[in-house]
Amino acid sequence: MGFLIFLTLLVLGYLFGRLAEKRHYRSINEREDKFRRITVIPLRVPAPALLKHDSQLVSGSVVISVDYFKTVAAGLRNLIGGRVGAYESLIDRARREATLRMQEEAQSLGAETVYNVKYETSRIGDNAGKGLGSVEVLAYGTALIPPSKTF
Amino acid sequence: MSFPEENPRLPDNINNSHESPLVDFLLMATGLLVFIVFISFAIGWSATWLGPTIPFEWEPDIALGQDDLTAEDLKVQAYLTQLTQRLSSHAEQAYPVKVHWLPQIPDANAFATSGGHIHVTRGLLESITSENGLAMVLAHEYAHIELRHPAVLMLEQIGHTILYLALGLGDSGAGSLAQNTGTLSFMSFSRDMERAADKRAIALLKNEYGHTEGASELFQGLLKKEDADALPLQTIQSWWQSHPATLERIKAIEAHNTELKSEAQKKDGRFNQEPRPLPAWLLDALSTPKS
Repeated sequence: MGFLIFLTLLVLGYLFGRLAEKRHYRSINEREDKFRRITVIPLRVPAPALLKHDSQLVSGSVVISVDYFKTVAAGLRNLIGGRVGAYESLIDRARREATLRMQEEAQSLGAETVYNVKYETSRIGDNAGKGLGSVEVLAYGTALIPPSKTF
Repeated sequence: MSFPEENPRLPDNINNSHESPLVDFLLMATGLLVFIVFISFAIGWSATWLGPTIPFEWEPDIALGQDDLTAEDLKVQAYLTQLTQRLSSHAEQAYPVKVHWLPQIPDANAFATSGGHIHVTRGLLESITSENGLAMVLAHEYAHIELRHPAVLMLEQIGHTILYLALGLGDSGAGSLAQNTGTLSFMSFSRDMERAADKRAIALLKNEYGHTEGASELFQGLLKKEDADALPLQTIQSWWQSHPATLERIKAIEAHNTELKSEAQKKDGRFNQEPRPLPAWLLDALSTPKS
């Protein structure tokens, strides 16, 4: 009985996890096109042309949960080592989603670019000691807003 | 230094390889399963070999008997002990066995524990009417002790515990996969032990009564309770069970009697072996409801 529950959770985790991932990537790609002109720059010092711009902190954060299939796959990977592909897509999605949310905030402020972008990643909940649980990615930076657009 | 007008369109497969997770998972899971099956069988075989070499006196005493038995209960217990001793007296070297009567347990069950203890529940006696049926159960449990199965089981459990601790999977999903696979091979060894105990019990019964008539009584009763439609599934279900399928056990017992019958028929065409009924006082004692 326990094994049947395990198999059911595994299959459901895989199907729903794949579906959610596919949808999320589609949405990420669409919105990256939309915000492509809100440039994200890791430099601390703005370009000379932007020195007169106003600045404001913008941030975007996202929490994504790992599915059961990924937990099991990562547990197996822990035995033999190597790239944990199951978690790579999770972190990739979380980082890009956080960036998009930050860009969205920047756009709402009328900013053209976000400088000094940084990322922080943390684990939320440890899934009752059974794996990663949920992962939070926070992206933040300084939005540079043309003076005429300052509210 | 020039500054970008827009964010670049990054290649999609640098941070996420987009490999098929299912193929990756199946490869790893298959590897783990093969490893666990191999190690589990190695543990099982080692335990089967090592268990009987451990001195019987070293087995820890694990008894679940009740202390508050009435005079009647003690009489039942003495009867069970006597019957077990009659059966074990046919062994080359009889092991000292203590039989415990569990009058408060309504479920039909009998089991042997480490240290030479046999337990018989009230539910079991209530589902048997012949001495031969009861003797089969007692001989089966005695055979477990004689074949040193408690020691073998203990070694197997220690081996599996060390294996899972060494893998360090805990109760994660992968740990569950490993444990379920281990359980399958563990159960396979357990069924082999039951078959061996049945075989030995049949030999003891033949020595005591000269036949195995009535020996399958308990199993016949169990079979009636099982869903007749589910019988074709018994083989698959039995993979997960510690005991062989009931039908298989009945067939094993009856095969011996069929052999004896055909031998008797060749001689004088008669086979008049009837199972002995349980003593009347015992049936009376069992008909009295227990609070």
